[in-house]
Amino acid sequence: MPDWRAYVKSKLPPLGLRGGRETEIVDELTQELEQCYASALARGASEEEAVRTAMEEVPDWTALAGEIAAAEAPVAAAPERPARLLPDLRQDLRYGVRALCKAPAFTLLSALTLALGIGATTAIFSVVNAVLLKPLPFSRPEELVRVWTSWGGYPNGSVSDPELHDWRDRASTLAGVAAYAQRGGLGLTTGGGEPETVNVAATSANLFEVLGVRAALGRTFLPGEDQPGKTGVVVISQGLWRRRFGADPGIVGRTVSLQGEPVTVVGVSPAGFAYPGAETDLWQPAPLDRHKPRPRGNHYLRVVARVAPQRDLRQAAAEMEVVARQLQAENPAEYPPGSGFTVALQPLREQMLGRVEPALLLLLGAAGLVLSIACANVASLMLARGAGRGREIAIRTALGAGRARIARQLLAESLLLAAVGGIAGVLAAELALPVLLALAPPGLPRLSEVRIDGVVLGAAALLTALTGVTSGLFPAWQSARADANQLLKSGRTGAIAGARRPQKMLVVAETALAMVLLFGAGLLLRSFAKLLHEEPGFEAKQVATAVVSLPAVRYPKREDASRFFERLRRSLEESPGTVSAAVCSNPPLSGWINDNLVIIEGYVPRGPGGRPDPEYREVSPGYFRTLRIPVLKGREFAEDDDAQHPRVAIISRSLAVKYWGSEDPVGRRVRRPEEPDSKWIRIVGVVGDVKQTALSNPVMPTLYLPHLQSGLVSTMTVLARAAVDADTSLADISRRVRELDRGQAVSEARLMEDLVSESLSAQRFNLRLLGLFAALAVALAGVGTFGVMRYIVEQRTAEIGVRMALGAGRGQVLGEVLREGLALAVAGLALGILGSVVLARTITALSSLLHGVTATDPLTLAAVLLLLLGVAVVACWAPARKATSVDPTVALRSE
Amino acid sequence: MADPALDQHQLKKGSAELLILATLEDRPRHGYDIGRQIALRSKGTVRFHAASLYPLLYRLARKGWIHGRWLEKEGQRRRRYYRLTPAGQKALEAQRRSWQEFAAAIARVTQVRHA
Repeated sequence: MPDWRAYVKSKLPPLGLRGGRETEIVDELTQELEQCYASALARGASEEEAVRTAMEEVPDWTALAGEIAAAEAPVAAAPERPARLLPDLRQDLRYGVRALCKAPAFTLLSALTLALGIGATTAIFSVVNAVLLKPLPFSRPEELVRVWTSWGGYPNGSVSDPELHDWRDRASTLAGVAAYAQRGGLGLTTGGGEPETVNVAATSANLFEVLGVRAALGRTFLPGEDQPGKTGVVVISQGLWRRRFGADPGIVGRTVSLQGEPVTVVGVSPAGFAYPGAETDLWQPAPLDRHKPRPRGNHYLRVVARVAPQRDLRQAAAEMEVVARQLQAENPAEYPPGSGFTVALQPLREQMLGRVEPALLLLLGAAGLVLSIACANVASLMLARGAGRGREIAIRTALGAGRARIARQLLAESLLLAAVGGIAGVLAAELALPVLLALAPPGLPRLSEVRIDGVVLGAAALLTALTGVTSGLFPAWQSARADANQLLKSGRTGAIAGARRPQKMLVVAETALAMVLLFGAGLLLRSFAKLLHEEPGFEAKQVATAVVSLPAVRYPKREDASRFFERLRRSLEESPGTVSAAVCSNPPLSGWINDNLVIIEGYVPRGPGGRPDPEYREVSPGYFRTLRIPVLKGREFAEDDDAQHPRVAIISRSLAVKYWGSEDPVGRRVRRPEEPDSKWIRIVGVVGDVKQTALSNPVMPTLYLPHLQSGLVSTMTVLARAAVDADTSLADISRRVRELDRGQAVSEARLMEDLVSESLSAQRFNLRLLGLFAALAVALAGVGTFGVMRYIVEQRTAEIGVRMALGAGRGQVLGEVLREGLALAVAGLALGILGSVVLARTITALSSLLHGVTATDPLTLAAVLLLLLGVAVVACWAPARKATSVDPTVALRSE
Repeated sequence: MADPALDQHQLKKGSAELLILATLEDRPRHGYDIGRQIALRSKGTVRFHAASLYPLLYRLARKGWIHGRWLEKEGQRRRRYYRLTPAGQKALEAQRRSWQEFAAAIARVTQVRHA
């Protein structure tokens, strides 16, 4: 026997009756059909005939539902009872589940659309939450500021020992002033074995105290441990403690060797603490001798301070300005009138996160736009469905359900949909997060803390609820507005008249939003393309680099270090796999900058900030050859440009143009006031400009000095241009360093090409994400347009049929439908252009992400418009074709 | 209307409540039984599809004229039996009276011929 119960359940539209009444009715109708079927069989009917007989008992289930609904309606319509909110809600939800299960295609498509939007937003929000929203891992982080020396055009200058001491003594608005310097990668040895390269920060003894951070194990530094002879203590990071020491609780008091120097571990930093950077493994007191400070002109410290209680940043800045004027008056040689010297304060949060904030917020906004489009799409799907459900809604109205009740029912459905989408979205975000983090630029702080935690889940839940309400409100309002009486009388489809207009509005809105996103992505793409075409000024291919830091214990004199590097360079040059090799103090795109005041013979500085302060770099012979930086005039450094020969320098083209104009600078002389004896240095060559910090930044005028003549730096980068394989050269560098000094560690070994690529990683990350969001947006908008156009054609089938019967040609119908769809697209695009222009004007952060294009780039705009018009044509094509295939006779009959 | 006979549908509509109430006068019956009784007693002239019968039953129940109860008989499955309530009994009598008066009036009008 057929399952009549299942048949009845599948046929009978939901009645929305309370309690078990609906089940009773289903039971009763089932029994009726069973009995009809059984007696038909008993009369000798065939199985097939019996089934048909039973089915004929109810020819129109919708009508039956309407009749039952009318019969069950209260005799006099009772007013709505708001007190029954909760049971009603439960019923609404139950009803919603059933209604959604009955339309699986609609449910799946809507939930998937919402999952995309919610997933994208949740994933980006989890990054924003960890990077921007969580408080910095210091106590009362809002009181912390960075203090810089500021020199005219350079607001973020380092600080010298005397300056640090002066600030501590004179600033009453600052409760604590701490300093640190990054010492780069140093070799750490524990009880013999290979040295491990660790990132060391040399700090003042009070750094932890000023940041308000206690050791997780042991202690941090004691006052006075940054004075000479007491610096043999270190605090290790939580990460290093776990990685290298297996989280050994007995680590405190152990002696390890740092660059061959024995030091005692006194403490372990707490988990989550990372300062100055996530990469910091170890902190050691910097020798900051109060009685014998280094020269005032030796700027190498970074300073972080805590604003005193009851004082604010403005007061502190004002006081530091006064201190700066005092220092200037007391030390005119170090801060000459034209230097533009002052002291600048910057909130620590801004300094740490200010750089990444605009991009992240922009991405969050983009994800939000995708979600908005998803909402619009689902709303338009619901409208189309709501139109087909007119009769069902009318039945419920006849049952005595008020309009508010109906609207609430539909809202419950959209909330359910959103909940399914939300759960799927969070799962998708969880899956996407590792990929997102792998793509993220290394400069993004606190990346390791990104996870989907309570805050993110809460935000996702809120977003889901909001999504449900937004996508459901409009359709609910539309349906509740419909006239029940008219619907019950109308044809079987029960379309809600006038439902087309809101859908069209949604298509326009979707197109506009997609246009804004695509335009943004287009601008980033154009910027990126321009960046890729930026000449770095050197040839990165085939060059291997590594950093070598020589410990002062084993290389006490600067000549020792120079000699080591020169021997290393020659050894590498002799290597069969190497074309040429060099060492330098800070290679291009390494991010390190180091400017120095220079006195140019015969040049009189004009006005404040007019004193030449070019970038300063120590390089070995072969440097320009190895990086293929063109020598434009004069010569490169030679092996005999050493301490025994007259001092020479090479300058970059931009420096030559800036101070010598059209004259030939070769043979002219400069002097460095910073050097104790400050001898004249003769310029022997001019080389091409090189991008020092990033491809997106302008070139900086640069002064090159031979390291054999100055030799101030004990940490140098080794460069080797490989004949065939740069990876082999990479290994070659480590091998030859160890040949020369067995205990010497090599750090940051990598290919120059990777360095170039890494310098673009932030842009690449932004572009990829925004591109992905834009693609999603365009796809969603396309699907939305398609859905609405198909629906419109369906609704107009009869009308089109009549017109075709009256002689309208297929081409005419096709053109008309296409025109209708394209009109929507054009309206959306116009709105989108308006939106883009307004956004470009208001979001100034956008222009900080662009390179070589304006925020209203007409070429990008044109490309985006064309692309979206194309998408609209594609989306309208199938519905338009369907319209032309309308058979007039069939169409007319359907009415 | 081309059919010279009276519209069955209209007739049924006017008399449906009376027919159902009448089948329940002697004893409670379930839905299928009510439909069958009507068909039997009218010798097949009046037949109700489930689609029209059940809404009528629900309407009568809602008016309080009949009352449905689930009953389980030995060896049979649970069924919903409708019985006449006192209000239903009164309604039946009233309807029957007015129907009979109406039928008689119709008969008087249509059967008297002026020869």
